[in-house]
Amino acid sequence: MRTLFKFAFAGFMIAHLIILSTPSAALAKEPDKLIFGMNAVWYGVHGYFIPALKLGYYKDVNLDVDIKRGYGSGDAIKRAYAGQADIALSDLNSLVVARSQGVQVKAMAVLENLPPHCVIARRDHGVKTIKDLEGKTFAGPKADGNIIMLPTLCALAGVDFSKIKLITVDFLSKDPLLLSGKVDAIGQFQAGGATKYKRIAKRENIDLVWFPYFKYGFKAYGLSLVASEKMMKEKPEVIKRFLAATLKGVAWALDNQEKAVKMYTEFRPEMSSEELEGGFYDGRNLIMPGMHPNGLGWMDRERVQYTIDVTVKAQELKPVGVDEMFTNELLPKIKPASKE
Amino acid sequence: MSEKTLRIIGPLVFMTALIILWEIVVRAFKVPTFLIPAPSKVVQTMIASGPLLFGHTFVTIYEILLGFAIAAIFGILLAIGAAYIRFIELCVMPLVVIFQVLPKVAVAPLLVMWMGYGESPKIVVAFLICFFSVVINTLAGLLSTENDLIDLMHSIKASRFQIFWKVQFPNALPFIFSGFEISITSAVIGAIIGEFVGSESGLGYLIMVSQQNMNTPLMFVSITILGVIGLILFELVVFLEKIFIPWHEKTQIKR
Repeated sequence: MRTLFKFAFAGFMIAHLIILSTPSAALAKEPDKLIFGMNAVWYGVHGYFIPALKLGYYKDVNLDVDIKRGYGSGDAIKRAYAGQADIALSDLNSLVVARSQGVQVKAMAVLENLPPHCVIARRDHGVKTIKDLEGKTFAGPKADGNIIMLPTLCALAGVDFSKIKLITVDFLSKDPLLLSGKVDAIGQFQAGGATKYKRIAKRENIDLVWFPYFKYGFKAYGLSLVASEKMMKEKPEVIKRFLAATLKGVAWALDNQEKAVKMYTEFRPEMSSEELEGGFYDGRNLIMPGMHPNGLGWMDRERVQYTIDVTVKAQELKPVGVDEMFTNELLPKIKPASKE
Repeated sequence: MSEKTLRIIGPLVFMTALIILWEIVVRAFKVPTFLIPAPSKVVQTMIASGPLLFGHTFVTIYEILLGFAIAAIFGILLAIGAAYIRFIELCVMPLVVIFQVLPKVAVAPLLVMWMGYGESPKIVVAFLICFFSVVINTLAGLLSTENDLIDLMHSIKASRFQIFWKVQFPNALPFIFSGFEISITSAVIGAIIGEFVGSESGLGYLIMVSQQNMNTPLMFVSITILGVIGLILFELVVFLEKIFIPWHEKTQIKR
């Protein structure tokens, strides 16, 4: 009996040794978990990040990515720095502000090659050209990127900024103020909240006019993927896999717009599908033009320097070095098949 | 008509009249929906968004109840500590007051950054908002016990615990429930503030989303549901008060 037990035990141990030394699916490495924080509550351009999740591109590179909403670009950068988000989405102007305060977060891929900043104004209030903003009221919160960059736009467009009457209001109050005619103009980000204006203006018969900043030579970069320098130093391979999968998804979305937008509206059923669709299609007009020759995500050094210069000047910040701001080193070379 | 019937019918008739007036004004003045939707539009939206609303409502109720429960337990314990331990009264209570006056709208983003994306920040904001009234009311109740009753207990050689359990705590119960009535409605506000800042579910998140999309009817639906939740929870506390302290008669002014 004792001998039988000894043989059984030995056989049990040998079997385990064989299993442990043999590669198998059950022993495959656990996927790397990442939290990807958006810059705001879901809006149009965020839809370009959904295909990587839904089509399994993250799974293919052994990543388990959880995409979370945000509360502003500044908040997104802080979360990336604090480790609450591994990767975050933020506009580059906010990153300049953060870097000037010593926050060690860097941009590693740009999404919006054109700046999303835009002035929306009431044509029926006498604003037919951008010059007509002189003498008119312009509403928005002080921290609104459109207002911060308004002096820069005015300098480019030959508008006397001192003649514009700025009215400080809450972020969510500016929309009804414009549409009810209480103010003449506001700033809004295209591919973000701009679509609702077209919908409401059409329904309520309001005559609006749009002045995208890029049309006047404003060439700062828009939304970009950022991470803390600590994260980049400790997990560069994880970031490379994340960027490869994400940008593959963005390329797919650019080449399959209708399927991608359907995927997005199903992903966020609580959002107005009309808003998401409008912003999603507007987003293409910010992502495709001005894309770097190497493909999606790549940033041009001169344009990063321009973004730094306009932001430092507008907000009277401490200077920021261009190499502190960004890196292209973690990027693959991915381009969508479709043209602009 | 009896008092009981009037209590139910009166508010219903009044609110119905208000709603009808609202509908008439919006239609007569052709007020845009994005500014003030007509009640009929709000009802339409509520029906169309039924399944969506159910999930988000459940999340918010969960956060409210948990935030309130934690505030109730800790609030009562801290008040008892402050009533009997001088150190707590002198050193901890000022901190409680400071926390109360902190603007929670400013604190909420910090909490999300420290605690992450889960439910905890929302529950903590709900707790912070409703904690104060539980502490203050409980302490007031404990300290308002008549000295004659305490002297009587001393005269029959009652222990400190017996004095607390037989006299002071029952005396404090009406005050505690008054604190609960204030706190439960404050917990609704706290949960919503937390959801504004860092949630992808809940009625507060829906309000944010509907504001962003200028979907004012959905915003009104969410606010209405929150109002109803607040009312139901308040009445639940009143009901529990009648169960736990049936001997406490609220004074009624005779007309």
